Amino acid sequence: MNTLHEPDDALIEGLARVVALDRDQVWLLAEQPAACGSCATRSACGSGSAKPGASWRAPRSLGHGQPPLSLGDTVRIGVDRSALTRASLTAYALPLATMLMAVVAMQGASDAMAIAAALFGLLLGVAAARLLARRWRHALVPVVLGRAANTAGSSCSPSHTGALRGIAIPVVQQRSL
Amino acid sequence: MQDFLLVLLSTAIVNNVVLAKFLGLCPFMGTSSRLDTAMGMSLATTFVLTLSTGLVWVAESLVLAPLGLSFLRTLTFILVIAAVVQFTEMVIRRISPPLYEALGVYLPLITTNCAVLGVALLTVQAGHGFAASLLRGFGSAVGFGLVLVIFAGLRERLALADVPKVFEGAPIGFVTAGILSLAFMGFAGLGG
Repeated sequence: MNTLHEPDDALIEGLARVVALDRDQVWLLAEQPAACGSCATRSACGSGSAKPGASWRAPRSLGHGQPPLSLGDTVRIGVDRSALTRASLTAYALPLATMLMAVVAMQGASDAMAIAAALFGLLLGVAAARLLARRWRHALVPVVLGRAANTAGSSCSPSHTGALRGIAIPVVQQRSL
Repeated sequence: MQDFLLVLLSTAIVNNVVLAKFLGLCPFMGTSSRLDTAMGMSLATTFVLTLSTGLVWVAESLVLAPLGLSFLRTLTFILVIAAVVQFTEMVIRRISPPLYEALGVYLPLITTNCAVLGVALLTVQAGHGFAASLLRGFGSAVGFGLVLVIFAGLRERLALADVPKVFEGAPIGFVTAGILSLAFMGFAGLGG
């Protein structure tokens, strides 16, 4: 399967590193875009290295006569922008909407009733978001766009910074956009 | 219902948390360079700010005020906000791990967003009931998100504009933010 794509406005790009080889496939681990990556205390602040991330299986060959991926290579990956927007709206906005609707529906009631309604609405929204999330789960699996040209400035070595986080979670389906 | 709409209008537009109260300027400048990051940040902030406003109202009304511990307000609110951020991280990871990979990076930033603490403190001081406080938090968050997205759109256009060398980057951003703030002053008095 050809995994090379031209840069596209419909995709949000990121970087991933080849962490394992498996015959004609590779395991990619997303590099976290650490917002505080340059902070001197990043190793102690909790947003750095301890949280598991996602990994994906992708074909080893990049096609177009390019050499196959090898261990430690960094590649550009892309996620469908509209799928990401839909997903974030569902995950953040749906629980909020149900919570606020429940509170507004209890207008005039006591504060205790309003708190109970808010809690019920929030839990209902989280449950609904979780159900909806299953629909677009595959749409959020990134595609390989190509080998990263030069990652010296944008990527950190895991041995130095722990910028790669995570435990490998197999995602069998690779979606090609 | 009209009261709730007025609360939303007042907090989101008239008393905008960024352009009228000048809170949350760090994420406002830091995450508004691209529309994608602005959307992610504003959605995450809306979720956290609304939840934390409701929870700090509960903490203040049911724990701090009855026990006469209001001097611990700031400390308690920071703790509540940090807990809400951790809870949100857990929920997003459960709902969608790929989404957490893409947008979860903004969540720790919200812990140190002074707009969240500022709105919580101002809401509790206003002395409203739970529902009005929750809507006030939501309105403030919507205002934050609205301004962040507007500003991100402006900055994306500014990146292509031919501005003098000394104004490139953050300086022209601050000038634009100032003009945007003046524009939002025009909403003063709206809704009574």
